[in-house]
Amino acid sequence: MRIGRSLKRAKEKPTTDGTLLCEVSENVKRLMKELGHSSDLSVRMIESPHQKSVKAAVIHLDGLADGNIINENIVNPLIQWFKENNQTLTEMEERASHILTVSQVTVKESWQEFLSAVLTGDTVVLLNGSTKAFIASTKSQPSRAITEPTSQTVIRGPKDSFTENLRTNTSLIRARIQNPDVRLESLKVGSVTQTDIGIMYIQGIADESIVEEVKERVKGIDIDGVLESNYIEELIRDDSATIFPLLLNTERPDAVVGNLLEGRVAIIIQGTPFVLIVPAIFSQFFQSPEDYYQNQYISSFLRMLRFGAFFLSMYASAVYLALVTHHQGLIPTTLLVSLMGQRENVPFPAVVEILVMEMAFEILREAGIRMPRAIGPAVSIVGALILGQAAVEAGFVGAAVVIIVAISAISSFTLPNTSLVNVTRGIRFMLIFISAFIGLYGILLFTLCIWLHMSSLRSIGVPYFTPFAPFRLKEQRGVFFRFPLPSLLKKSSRK
Amino acid sequence: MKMNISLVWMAAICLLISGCSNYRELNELGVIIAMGVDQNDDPKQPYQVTYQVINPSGLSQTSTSGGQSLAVINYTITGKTILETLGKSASVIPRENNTTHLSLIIIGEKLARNNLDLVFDGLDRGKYSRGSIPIFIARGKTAKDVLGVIEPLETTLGKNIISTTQNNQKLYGSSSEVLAYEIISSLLSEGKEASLPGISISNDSQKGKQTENLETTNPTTIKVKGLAIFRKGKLVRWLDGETARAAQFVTSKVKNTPVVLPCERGNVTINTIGVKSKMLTAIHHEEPVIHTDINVMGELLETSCEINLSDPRVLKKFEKKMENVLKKQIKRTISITQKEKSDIFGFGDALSRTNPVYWRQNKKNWDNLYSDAQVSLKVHVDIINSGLRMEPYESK
Repeated sequence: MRIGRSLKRAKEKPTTDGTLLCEVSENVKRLMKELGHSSDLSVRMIESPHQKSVKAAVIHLDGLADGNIINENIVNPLIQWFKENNQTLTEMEERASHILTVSQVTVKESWQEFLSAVLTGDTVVLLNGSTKAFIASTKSQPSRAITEPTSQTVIRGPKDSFTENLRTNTSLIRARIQNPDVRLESLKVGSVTQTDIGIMYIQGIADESIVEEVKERVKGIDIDGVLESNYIEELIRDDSATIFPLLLNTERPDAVVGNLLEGRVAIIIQGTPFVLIVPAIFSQFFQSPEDYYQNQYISSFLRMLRFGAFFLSMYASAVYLALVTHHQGLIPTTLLVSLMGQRENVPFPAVVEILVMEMAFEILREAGIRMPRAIGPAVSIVGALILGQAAVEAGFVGAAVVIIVAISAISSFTLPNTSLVNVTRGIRFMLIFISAFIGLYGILLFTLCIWLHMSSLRSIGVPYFTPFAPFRLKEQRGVFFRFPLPSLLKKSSRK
Repeated sequence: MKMNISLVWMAAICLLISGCSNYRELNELGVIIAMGVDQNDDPKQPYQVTYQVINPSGLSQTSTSGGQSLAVINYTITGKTILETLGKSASVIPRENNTTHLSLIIIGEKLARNNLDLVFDGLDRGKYSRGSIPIFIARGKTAKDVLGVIEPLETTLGKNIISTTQNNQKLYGSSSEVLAYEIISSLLSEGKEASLPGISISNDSQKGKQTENLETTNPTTIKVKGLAIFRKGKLVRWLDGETARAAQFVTSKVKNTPVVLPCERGNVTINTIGVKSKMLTAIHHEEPVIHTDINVMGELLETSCEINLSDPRVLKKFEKKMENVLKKQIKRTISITQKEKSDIFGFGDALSRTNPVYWRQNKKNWDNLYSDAQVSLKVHVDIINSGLRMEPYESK
């Protein structure tokens, strides 16, 4: 909900253009005015003891710039310099970049560049009488330490994950591919936030048309602010209505590097540890980086297990419901008898029973994510005990329903990517409704619809359902199995 | 967008028009698991059908309501046709009847002796039950009586009968499960007569129908007893014990069965572990000749004579002996069926394949031809081992 006005309309007077003035105090005043006398703007005036008109202003935004560097490498040398010498302005302009002992000093004259340098955390030195701004790079954004990934964990494999800092993230990737062909292109998205976005790929491996397409789409984004990678994802994906994730997101640097090596493009966004990878195909969402860090047989088994779990998670409740309410003849007699026994005292229709349990699980899950950490144990005890056991004993639901809902919930968590977990949740509910109406026939119909829908999807122009549609038998083996590295390497070198 | 909207419409129509077409809750279902068909004395309502319905609360372990109730309930209904009784059953069974789990059909002997021909039509025609239901004849009893026994070991009677039969087929072989579609095809066939396993009640008493039956170690139970052979859809004779087993040898439906052979001071038991038979027919001087080739593999598993089993000649001797015993048994069985003019083995079918022209001319007369046909038998026995011991232990 927007409370204020749109910034575009509010900003009618074009004040940010023009160049710097000669008078340093005028520049400072103008800056103060434009930033609305922000309290975190720090301006240090240094005057020459020899000559009153020789002075400099050291300007930075407190918190974004590194205070130590400013003190030792900017303010201190300037004071010393002013003390020792009595120079003319032109001499000073020439020598200023030598005096400032920081890694990078650029000289700019436009007001706009001066302003954006201050806002990004650089320190700007203005000299009285000069229209030049000496921009010393002192960016030091507050950032979290690199920690273990929280949403995509592995047992064997790298334990670092991205942070909210774009530079840290690119450095994590760079550290893994020390190759001159790695390209990083920077863009700014968000008319208000001016969020930094890095597009990373490997020149020569990545398809250039895809790189261009990604750049075009990211540049074309018109939005006030970008707070998370999903903003970008939703704005550049090919189909805005689909439930399926069309872009892969990961917080693992090794996953990004693996995908870069396969010729994909990574989109890194300042402020979020989730990096987008395009183009993504459906089968990628079943692959964990760990598949390549352990024995191929186990990896192949686990890959197939994930596919099985994916289907189980979507279909278990719906198929159970269909069998119990429409196709009792398909249940083995012994099981039917025990199911009938469980149902004898349950007052609700089977579909209500299933929905109640599914909703209860969704509530539990949502609560588990949102609640304060300290309450966690209490909720899990209440959730597990009350929903699991007591509900059955109280006759709210049958024991079989609890098992079915539990297995469909747990199997969804075998998927390495949470976007896909959310897909299973959505589809599961739709399937339950349909199967309550028309049983297995409906399940089949809906499956067909989903299949058709998936075949029509594209991710940055690449068919989402490759290698099934378009049908490429040779690539399909990589979907269900993880072949030993020697055979994988042989294949890629032949290409 | 138009596409999407039309999809939504299609989905909505699919869902809403169908409604909850077949939606049935489990606790609204009366699942019929066994059916007994008897002949009724009233000629206006010739069928008396017993439906055995599952009582879920009697079977479920989770139900906490006190007092043990029985696993099944029998409802007996009379009617003109079997399907009519199913319809009528709605007036006594409080739940919607469901025959998808029907797993046992028992025919009363009286009905079987009278006529079995078109009893199964409704079953074969109906959409809601399978053709793979085993069928039994209640020997000397009515189907209602047999279904009335409260089975102590298995949870339901149907399961008990079926598993007993399968067990029998596996480990003794005097009878085998005959499924509905098999019996229909043999009733239909001109070259094969039907044969059905019989069941009866052992240790019969009034208690068998009450829960008391569960409280004794010597309860009334169901036993599989004999093989009923039919002629033109009518039960004509029972085969028992070894005679019945010999019939299973011809059709190689038996696999493991002990064959007891006499020796000097006792008996030797040879367990067959594989039986392969081949039915051959030929025409000799315008007369059909029936030939059966039976290959049996066996293990010598018990002996009460002192014989040296390490000597292959001894085993050879027993092979010969067993061949003769089996030959005698099988010959007797075949001659019984010939006497009853009931070709339960399907020699006629075999003949129709080997000599179609002859078959077409004579199939009407097959009963008589069969009963006069020459029979030749070839039995070959291989004893492949004699167990873990060589010599029998000697008592000192």
